[in-house]
Amino acid sequence: MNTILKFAFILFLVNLAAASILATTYNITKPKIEEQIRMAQAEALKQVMPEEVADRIEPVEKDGVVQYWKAFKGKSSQLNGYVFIVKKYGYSSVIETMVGIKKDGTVIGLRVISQNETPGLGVKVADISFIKQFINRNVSELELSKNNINAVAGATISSRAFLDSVKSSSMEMLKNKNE
Amino acid sequence: MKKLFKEFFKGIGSENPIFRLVLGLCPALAVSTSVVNGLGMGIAATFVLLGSNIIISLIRKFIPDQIRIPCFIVIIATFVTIVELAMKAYAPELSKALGIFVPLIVVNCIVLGRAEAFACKEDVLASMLDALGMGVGFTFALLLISAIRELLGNGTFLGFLILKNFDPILYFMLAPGALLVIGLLIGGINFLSSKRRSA
Amino acid sequence: MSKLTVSPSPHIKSSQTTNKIMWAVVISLIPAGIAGVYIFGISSLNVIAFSILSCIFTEALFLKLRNKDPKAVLDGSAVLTGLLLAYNLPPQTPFWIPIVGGMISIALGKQIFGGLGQNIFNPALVGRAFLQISWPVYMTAWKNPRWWPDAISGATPLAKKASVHFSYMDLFLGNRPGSLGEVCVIALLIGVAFLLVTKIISLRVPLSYIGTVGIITWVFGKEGFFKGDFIFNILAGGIILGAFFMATDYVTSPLTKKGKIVFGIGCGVLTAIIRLRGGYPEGVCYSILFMNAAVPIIDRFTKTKKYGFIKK
Repeated sequence: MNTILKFAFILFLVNLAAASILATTYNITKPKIEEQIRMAQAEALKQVMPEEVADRIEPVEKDGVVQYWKAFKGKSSQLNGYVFIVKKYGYSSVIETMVGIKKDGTVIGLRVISQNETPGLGVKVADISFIKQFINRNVSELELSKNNINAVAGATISSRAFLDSVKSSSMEMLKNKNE
Repeated sequence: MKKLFKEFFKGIGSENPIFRLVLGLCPALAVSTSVVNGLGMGIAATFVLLGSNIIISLIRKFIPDQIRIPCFIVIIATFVTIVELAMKAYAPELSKALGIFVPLIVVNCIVLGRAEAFACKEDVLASMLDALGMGVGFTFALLLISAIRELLGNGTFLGFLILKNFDPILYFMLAPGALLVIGLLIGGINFLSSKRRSA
Repeated sequence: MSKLTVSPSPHIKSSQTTNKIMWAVVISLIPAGIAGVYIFGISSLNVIAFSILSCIFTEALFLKLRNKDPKAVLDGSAVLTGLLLAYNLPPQTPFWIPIVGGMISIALGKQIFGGLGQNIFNPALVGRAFLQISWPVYMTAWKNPRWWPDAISGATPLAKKASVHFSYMDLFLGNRPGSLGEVCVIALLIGVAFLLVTKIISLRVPLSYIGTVGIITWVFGKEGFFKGDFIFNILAGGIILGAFFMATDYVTSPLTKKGKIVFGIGCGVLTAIIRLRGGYPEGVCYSILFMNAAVPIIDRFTKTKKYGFIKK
């Protein structure tokens, strides 16, 4: 009985020390980590919705979670476009994309936030050379074909998933909001 | 003094964790797709190794044998979490690229292996040098593997385009490429050392 | 290390030697090559030539490095590997694709395991798998038969969204895009007949392989339960080439009769699964490689019983 108590006490001491060190580290790094996340998001927002189009981006929250962002231009409260995040399973992972569109459905910017597609093939959906095909096009006319959007060579499945997710969610967004 | 030098250099050469002990292959396979990732993982693992070896060596006399493994795990996990938080705060890009493999240093065989095989028996200075040697050896191996993989699989080195007009060999970017590179390197090293022994 | 052959007894002496077998298989593959070159044009001859030359060169290099008799280059095995590799490639590739493929086939597929007879995996398929993973874009740039209006096609008949309809006759004669040597089924069958007459291959592996693919694609085919188009699935793709010429490779297939059938069924199941549910349209290459790895286990569990041996 005595040894068990001794072991328990030693384990308790070790864990206490570990926990207090971790708590300190957590508190030191917490503001910095939050700032990094905020910066990353602000940068992504700016990229999909540049200042020329909208200089004020406001989150729309529901139950404390950001659903999408509204983009305004100038001082007027004239709504100019939307930014939102879409997810869809591609070839080997969920492709998460931030989409910025105008109210009439013109694509302003796209940015793949996270994906884990095949290196050298599917990952190229995040490349600028693939994404720039979408810019300044109306979402409703996007399609994978020779004269429209060229799929990434050898990665048709990833390309199609990416396009579908952008297209269908944009259409839905516009339908709900423009009514 | 000579003994201490030996403790340091054995991790780089004769007891290299990847090429000789064949430990810690999981991160070596997974994150060695680019030199930056390999270096980041190497440094992170070295830091954890150093921290855990020093602490374990310091408290080795107070820890009863029966509960040493849970104590080691707690200590290692503490260091890993510190690394993870620090990386997220100061190197978010690297943290994103290494992903799950930073928290997985907890179960990296090298760290627990050194704690069990070395630090819980030897004094602090020797344990520190052992950890440094193992960490440097691990980092060196990761650098070698990731340099080969990045060059052949992507045509770049440290992100700079080296091989122009070259169709990257995707094989080396994927898991089988890592196995092939590690296998061939181990084979080559064994071949060279057996030749030296017989000569 | 004993140098005894490990096939189960009783043994019978035969005039067949490794050289003769290898060259006979090479000869049996010639009609399919001629058909391929005829269908896809003279440029596909380059693929064959580069592949064979690369294999021979790599083999010679390794024989020299390992201080072996350099004459072994001409035992036919390197030529056969090169030929099979070329037959598994698209008919038009950058010139270095078959060269790299040949080097990988011989170096990583064969010599690193200890040379002829020691390799676990079919060398030509190792090369082809490496190329498929490394340069998927070139490895799926199929060329149409030269009398078709479009030169480059995006898809073989097996591709999940193939737009062109192929009749059985098209598939049988090879009037379709596909790998260089797999398209013309009739030419392949001429070679098969030659191998059967000379008793170089038996029908155990090919029939169990093709039969399994046929049954599974019939039962679970995309046309519906028990309605799958199994004739299409057997004729389109590389099953005929794979089943008769690559799954029957002496070194990398089981020794026992029962084992051969198990091996064939395993290949068939994997091929059908990859085709019906996998990400690739075709699965012959990977399924044969996969089953190659299982050969030692298959051999162990299908050992023939010794005569008069009583199980305790």
